[in-house]
Amino acid sequence: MPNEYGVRLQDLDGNIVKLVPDHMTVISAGRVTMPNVLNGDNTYGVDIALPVSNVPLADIGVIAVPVKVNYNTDFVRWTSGASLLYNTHYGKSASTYYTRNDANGVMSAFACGALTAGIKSAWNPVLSVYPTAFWDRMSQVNFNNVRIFGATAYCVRDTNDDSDFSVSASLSYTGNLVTGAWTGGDGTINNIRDNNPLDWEAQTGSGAGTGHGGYYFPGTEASNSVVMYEDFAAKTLNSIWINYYWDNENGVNYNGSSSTSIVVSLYIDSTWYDIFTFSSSGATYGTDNAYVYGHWKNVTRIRATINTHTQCYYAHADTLWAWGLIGDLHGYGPNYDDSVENKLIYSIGNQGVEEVDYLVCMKKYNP
Amino acid sequence: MHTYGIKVYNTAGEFALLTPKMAKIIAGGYLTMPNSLNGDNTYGTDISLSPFTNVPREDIGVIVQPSKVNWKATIGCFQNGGSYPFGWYAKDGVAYYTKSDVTGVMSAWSAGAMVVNNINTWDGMCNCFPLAGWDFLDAQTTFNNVRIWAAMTHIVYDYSASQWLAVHTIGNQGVEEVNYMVFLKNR
Repeated sequence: MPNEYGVRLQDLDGNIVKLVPDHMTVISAGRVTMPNVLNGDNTYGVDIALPVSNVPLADIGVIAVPVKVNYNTDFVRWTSGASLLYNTHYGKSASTYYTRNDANGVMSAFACGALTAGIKSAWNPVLSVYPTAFWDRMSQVNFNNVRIFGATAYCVRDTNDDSDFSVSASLSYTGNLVTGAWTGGDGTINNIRDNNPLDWEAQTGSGAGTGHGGYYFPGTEASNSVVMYEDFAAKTLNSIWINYYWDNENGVNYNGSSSTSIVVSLYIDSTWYDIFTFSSSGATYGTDNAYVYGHWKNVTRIRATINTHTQCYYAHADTLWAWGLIGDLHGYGPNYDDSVENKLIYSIGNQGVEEVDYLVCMKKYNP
Repeated sequence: MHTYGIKVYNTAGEFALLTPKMAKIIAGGYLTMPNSLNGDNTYGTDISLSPFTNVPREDIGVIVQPSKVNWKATIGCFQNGGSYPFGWYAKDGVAYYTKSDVTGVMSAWSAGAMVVNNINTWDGMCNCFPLAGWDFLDAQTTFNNVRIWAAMTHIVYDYSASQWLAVHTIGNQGVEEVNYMVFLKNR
């Protein structure tokens, strides 16, 4: 219903205004320099005093626009030859950042990592940087002051180190595990997470005998295969670490050949993907470790396949063997949801938003 | 030069000439933004200009500033020896929307699930920031309400469509609260 009171003003164009208490009065305006430190109560910003006390929220209007902005990020790029592989911005360890409690305006220090090699949690990637300024109500409904908040905002990842998921896996295998072999394997698949490289003892040997070799006659050949599975609830994996052994013998009299291959695969959305392949043929032996890096979502199984093959070619029988072993296999991945690791942090004052243009107005002005 | 109006002086001799151009605050304070679209698939909260109707666009002023925001993205970490390059991606399962600048209608957009060996399911994200303002159609020139619109905007590359998009999250997934003020002149 239109107001039944007020002073009517009309211009020559017929525009009319009825002066009522709802008309806007500018209380304060201009440019404010934002402080470089928090207030004593760990909130942040500049208070603009209102001319009266306990002004209701609905009677106040505020404009705040950041006009002088600084930002602090680190930057790393990885190249291969002339090609750019990766390009990531990070929070700076030397800079002061804060998270902000939306309910009470309290700021808490947030430290970004120093990009330390081998420590994922020391790398805090930044998605976005933008200046922001607004009236920080701090959940109040009546006001004596208007708090102007201004800062540079960063959408950043509070990265945690990857977890080793291997311990929670259930393990199984198919094929022939061989006992009593060179490494002391006992023909069983055990816990694979205690960093004992001999704990996941899956060996394959070719030919007769219980060890890793056999006495071959000319023209004979043998193959063996062990496939091991590690099952778990669907996870995202960022890396696989593999410790593996191999030992191939072409025969004391070099009458044959032998070969070993090891393949590690991930089962994702009903499809197997090979992520690591090792093969060796001829008279070689050794042990090695390998990291394979990626970003694999919805992984539910890890499969390791060891294949061995031996064959005797020539007139004299000989002792041949081919032998492979997965000593250890770990799957590492994030253990925290995006909603936990995604954070909004701020830098302030001469490290963030240094100056803000503002206007504070109110209606029902009656000092 | 105005030849009409009411002059109000202070003791310093300063004065204001009250004319119909004076701003009248219709509504102000803060809004909690809804978590879902309106029935017509537009988005936002309507502030009534009542008792005024058919107010011309040029007589209306609106200020909206996001004061509580959330953002939605996921990350891929591609370790390189002891270092950790990261890539940002839109997150599958999150309710993102595109917005028609012509009609204001928001349409659901689904992020890819980052499936191995399927490049079309990796939708890279390069930026995100809050947006807020008065949402009106170009063709609309008079108003009974002011629509306050606010969302967190994410700039993504929709790989399967081979195009850059601005996709938005709303409510407690995007801009959760805004400070606002609506004012009129000539009323």
